[in-house]
Amino acid sequence: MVGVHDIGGLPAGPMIIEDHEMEPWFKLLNAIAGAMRSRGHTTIHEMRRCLESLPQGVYDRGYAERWSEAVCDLLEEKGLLTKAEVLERIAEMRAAGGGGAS
Amino acid sequence: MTGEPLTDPIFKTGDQVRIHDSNPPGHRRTPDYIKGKIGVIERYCGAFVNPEESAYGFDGLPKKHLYRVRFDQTHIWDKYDGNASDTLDLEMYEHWLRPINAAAPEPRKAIVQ
Amino acid sequence: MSDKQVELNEHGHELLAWSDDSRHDVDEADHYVLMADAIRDLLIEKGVIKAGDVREQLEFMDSRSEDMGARIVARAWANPDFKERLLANGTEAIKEFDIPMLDAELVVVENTNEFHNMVVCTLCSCYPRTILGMPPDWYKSKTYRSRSVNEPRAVLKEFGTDLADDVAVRVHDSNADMRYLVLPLRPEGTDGWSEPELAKLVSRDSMIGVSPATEPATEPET
Repeated sequence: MVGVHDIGGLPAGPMIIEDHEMEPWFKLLNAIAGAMRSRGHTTIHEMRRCLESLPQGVYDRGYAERWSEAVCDLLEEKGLLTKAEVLERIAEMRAAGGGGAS
Repeated sequence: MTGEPLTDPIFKTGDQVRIHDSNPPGHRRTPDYIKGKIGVIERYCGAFVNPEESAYGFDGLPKKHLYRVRFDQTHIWDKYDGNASDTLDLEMYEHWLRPINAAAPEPRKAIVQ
Repeated sequence: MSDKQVELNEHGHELLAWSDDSRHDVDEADHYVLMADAIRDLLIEKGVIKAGDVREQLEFMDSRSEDMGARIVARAWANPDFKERLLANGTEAIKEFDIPMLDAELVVVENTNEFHNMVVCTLCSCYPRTILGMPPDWYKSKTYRSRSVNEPRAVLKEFGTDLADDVAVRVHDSNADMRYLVLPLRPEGTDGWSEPELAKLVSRDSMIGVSPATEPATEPET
């Protein structure tokens, strides 16, 4: 079985050569992932493994989105927080008229 | 515990190697397209934590010898459109490399036509 | 597993495709925006990380950009001894710029009239962030990751880079502990230019290997 990430040589459409400034929320997520590594809680290899383990539909949501999902999975696996807590917090933020990437 | 490899590097620059052709479950850094292919050691890179272990929270020690392996593009792909001297380089941990003279099965055939 | 759809890729291997895409509800456009905040706040509240850790990481990201890479390339163009050291051991050579490679090693590959180098990471999106900053969107795209290995010339053409047939393409799939910097060909008409002047010709894309360095339009600015 070949993983969702193992795509070298597979057919794909024409290059869409685009770039944009990184979204503040994804920059924040990168910083969180970096902080987790620098504190010794996680490794880049664990992070990659969590990315590769995502279901195809989730993996395909986009680079930043799959990183978010993988970070969440890894933190839950490590017992550092649960997805339920994250979802609950998101709901609270929404109820409070949440900002985002502050 | 230094974590250094238990043995010296088996291969040297210029040696021909075949990439182990297998799909074990787990976190692997060997892309599917290169499995079973034959290349040449371009350089020895040093020894690094084994990502296949580190990915599951283990220390990944002892470290694994890592090499850069160069392949002819026309060898990798059936219908490669380019120059016969076009190449592709990847990094391979030693346990994925087989000496070319060792008995090895033919590269796996595609299941579908 | 009943909703698993099996597809075969061109090597005849199963690709997993799930019709069941139910994870978090992502009906709200701001789901992931809030998620980043939520994760940060929870981790800080639980004492797993400190607010300063996050700030440090953000500052590190802000301090990294392609300017670093351009300075390295410019010095290699201007200084043959440095170039030799850079090609022999990139990690060691860039220490004189006070740039740490952190947990990866730097391999510098030189474009010549015979060889054109191009960098991709098919399995994820490994990129020499310490010297080029964050990778562009297209570098992380499935299209670039898929096609760069088996049809690099077509991909290069789509970037407007039309290689002569007698130039060999060397693709580097950055799949483990090395990170790659392409040393582009030095443009003609730049003899005697200073390193800062040369650095202005070194685009990010030329250091990934999808385009050449910028041709000097006129005399160098002073």
